[in-house]
Amino acid sequence: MGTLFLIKLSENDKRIIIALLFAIIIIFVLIGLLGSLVIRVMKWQGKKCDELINEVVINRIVTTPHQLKAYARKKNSRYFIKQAWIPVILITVGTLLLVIHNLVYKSWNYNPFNSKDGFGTLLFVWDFGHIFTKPETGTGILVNWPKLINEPHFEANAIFSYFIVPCYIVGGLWYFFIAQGYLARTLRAHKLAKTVFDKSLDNYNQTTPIQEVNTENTVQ
Amino acid sequence: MIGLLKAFGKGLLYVIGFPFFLLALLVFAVIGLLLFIYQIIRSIIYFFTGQKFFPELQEDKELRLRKEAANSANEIIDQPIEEHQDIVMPLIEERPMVSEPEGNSFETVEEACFNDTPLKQEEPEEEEEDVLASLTRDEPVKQETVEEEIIEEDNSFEEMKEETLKTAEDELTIAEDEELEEYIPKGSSITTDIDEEDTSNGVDIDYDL
Repeated sequence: MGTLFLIKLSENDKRIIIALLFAIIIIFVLIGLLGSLVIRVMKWQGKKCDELINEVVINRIVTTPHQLKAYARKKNSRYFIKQAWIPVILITVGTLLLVIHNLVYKSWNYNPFNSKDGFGTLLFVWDFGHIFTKPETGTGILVNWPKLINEPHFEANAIFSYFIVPCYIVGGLWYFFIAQGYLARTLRAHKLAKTVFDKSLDNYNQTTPIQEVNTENTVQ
Repeated sequence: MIGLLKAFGKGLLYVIGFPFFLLALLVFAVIGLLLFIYQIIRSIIYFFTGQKFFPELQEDKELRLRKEAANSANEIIDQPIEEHQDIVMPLIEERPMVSEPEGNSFETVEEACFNDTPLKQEEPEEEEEDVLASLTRDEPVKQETVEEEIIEEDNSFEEMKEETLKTAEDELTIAEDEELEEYIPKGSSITTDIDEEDTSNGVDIDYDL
């Protein structure tokens, strides 16, 4: 038989474990809330598909799910292009500046985010690589504060990165938001193709009396 | 507490599904970029062929044609009724009695030709205003009476014409036996004292107005 290890937890260890569990739960709760927010935003973006295909569907110009999907795809693509041209131009401008910088300095290994001649010169940068160290004597782990490597300052060599990085960040985030809308509208079109032409009898009951038409509200 | 657990459960699901969502997002981002490049190339071709950047789709064209047809039909229906409405004919009982004009017979040709009494046909403008006003006041239409009067006047004028012709013939037969009186038109005077020697300056004719 193998040796049994007795795990003894001190009070301090128990507290640490409980705190870690709470942290994990809170992290997952936050992820859940964030995910719900993303889903709500996608439903809101998907409503635009209804606006784009509304008149054609109501006037019964499209009469099959296939026709509705095809028309919705065309309208969706056009709307995506109308929305996406600004972020695409921003990303293109950022790329052009990067190419020009590489041509000027004759180096194609340039990282625009570094803290020496990049966008990092404008930020506080800490070294997290040496937080945990071993003590010279005894056992255990020493936890140290991270070392401050860089304080914000202006660097003339990094001027290209001051334009490249904002163009990439703003253009990239904006483009992904629009791509999310494109995905949302596509999903909405697939859902509408089923519901608009649905011949479900779920809530239909033939024994219920037919409601009389209210003549007061009819248009004379 | 239950809400917190629900959010925790959703968080677990979203952590599992996040890579798939990210993959779908990246795929759509790449498709969008390719669409963008394809549309730019198409727009260059459309530019040189004179077409729009986004030409009209078949479904949109059909929708536009249906709307135009519906609007033209609505315009015909919505036209005001007054343009098509004919003047309402009042009842015969409501029409005023039109008296025959006095002095239907004329003694001489001059009276028939140069009678000062104006014809009622010269007053249509005033009566037209009355007709419009009478339409709003639901009164009998005077235009009809004017037309009747005109018709009656025409008839009476023909009668007058016949009578004058008869009198003219009678007068001619009388005139053959008698000397013709010197005809002097109304409102004019002719100077008889004309100096035949001095006619270089013309004949003076005075009009007594």
